[in-house]
Amino acid sequence: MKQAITFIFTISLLFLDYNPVSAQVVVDTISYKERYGIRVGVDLSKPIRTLLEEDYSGVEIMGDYRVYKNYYIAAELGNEKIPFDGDNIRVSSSGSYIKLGVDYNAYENWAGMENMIFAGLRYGFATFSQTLEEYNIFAINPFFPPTTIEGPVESSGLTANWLEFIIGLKVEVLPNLYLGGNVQLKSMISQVSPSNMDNLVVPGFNRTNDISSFGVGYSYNISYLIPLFRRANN
Amino acid sequence: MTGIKFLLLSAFLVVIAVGCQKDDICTPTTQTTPMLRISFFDAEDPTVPKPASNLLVREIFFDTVIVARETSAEIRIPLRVDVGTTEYEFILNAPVEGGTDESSSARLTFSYDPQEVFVNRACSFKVEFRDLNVTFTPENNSWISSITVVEENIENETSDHVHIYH
Repeated sequence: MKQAITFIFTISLLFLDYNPVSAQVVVDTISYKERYGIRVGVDLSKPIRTLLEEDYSGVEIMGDYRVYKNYYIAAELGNEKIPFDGDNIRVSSSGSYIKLGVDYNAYENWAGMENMIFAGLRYGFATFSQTLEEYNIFAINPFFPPTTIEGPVESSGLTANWLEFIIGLKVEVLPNLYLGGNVQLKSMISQVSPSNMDNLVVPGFNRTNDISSFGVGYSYNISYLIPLFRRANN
Repeated sequence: MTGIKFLLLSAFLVVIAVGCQKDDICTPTTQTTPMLRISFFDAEDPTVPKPASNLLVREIFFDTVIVARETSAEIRIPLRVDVGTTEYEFILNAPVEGGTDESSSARLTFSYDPQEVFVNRACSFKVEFRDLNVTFTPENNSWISSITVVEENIENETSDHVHIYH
């Protein structure tokens, strides 16, 4: 009895994917050609943070180019000044960064739509300087008054390299105009730090981490697709 | 559609990761600016620890009492991080208020090279003291017979830095 049920179940699995349409040989005569081109945009979150957040300023432009079917090459170029204000130390880093990589669009669009829900990889590189604004000498003893040292002390010629995993979406809100958002998980590969301390914040990477090599980021952006040619997608 | 579910789940995990920042608090186990560790020994038999009785230790610049009439064979005192010398008064048999004064005082000058060393973003910088040198006055008729620097670079408190024989 049990074997019979197993048999029926197994057979029924074969019919689960049964589709009467796919059984026939149907040629889709409507061949929609999708647009390929360069999409350029700006990060909206960074100018907003510049207005709202004291000591922060930043801009980022981005672009992607559809190479083949669901694959895009993508890049971001930016400049940021990021503060770090801790209990015992205050620094700010400012400089420029570039991120290069690929995106894969996992969203199956209907004909005529070109939205994206994507995952991608980036290689990031930043060149920057870090300024030590103010810090305390940390001493546990309660006998002497705390020692605070005022800066600024600037360390320049710093660099950082990292890899980034990015996921996000881009939605066409008006013809050729896209709104998007993404989150980024970053992993530091190598960095050049000031001689007497660490890089606490890095443009493009954001806050570094004392415990691991990971960092995080996000972006809200608006972009415009400049269509260059059309190509059938099958 | 499983790809999209994966993406949404990943986004959720990244958001969680943003919220956790363990490295903001300077934990007490982190080695920050060390104190100077001093042990007292018998001048006659330098291997025998000899507690200094009713010892009062006062830092002169801030006029702060660090050790208040304690009898112990080992004390820890802070060094100033903003300059290269710290002056202390070591009073043996410090009198209680209204009691008879049988005290004996010595002035100790600790000189060193303070070096700032970065710890991490929570603790900021600590100071390590290099090339410690100790002098004391009066050299004659003092309750201290001699002082030895056993570790001239003070980076932690795991062992003695200075031995005082009396």
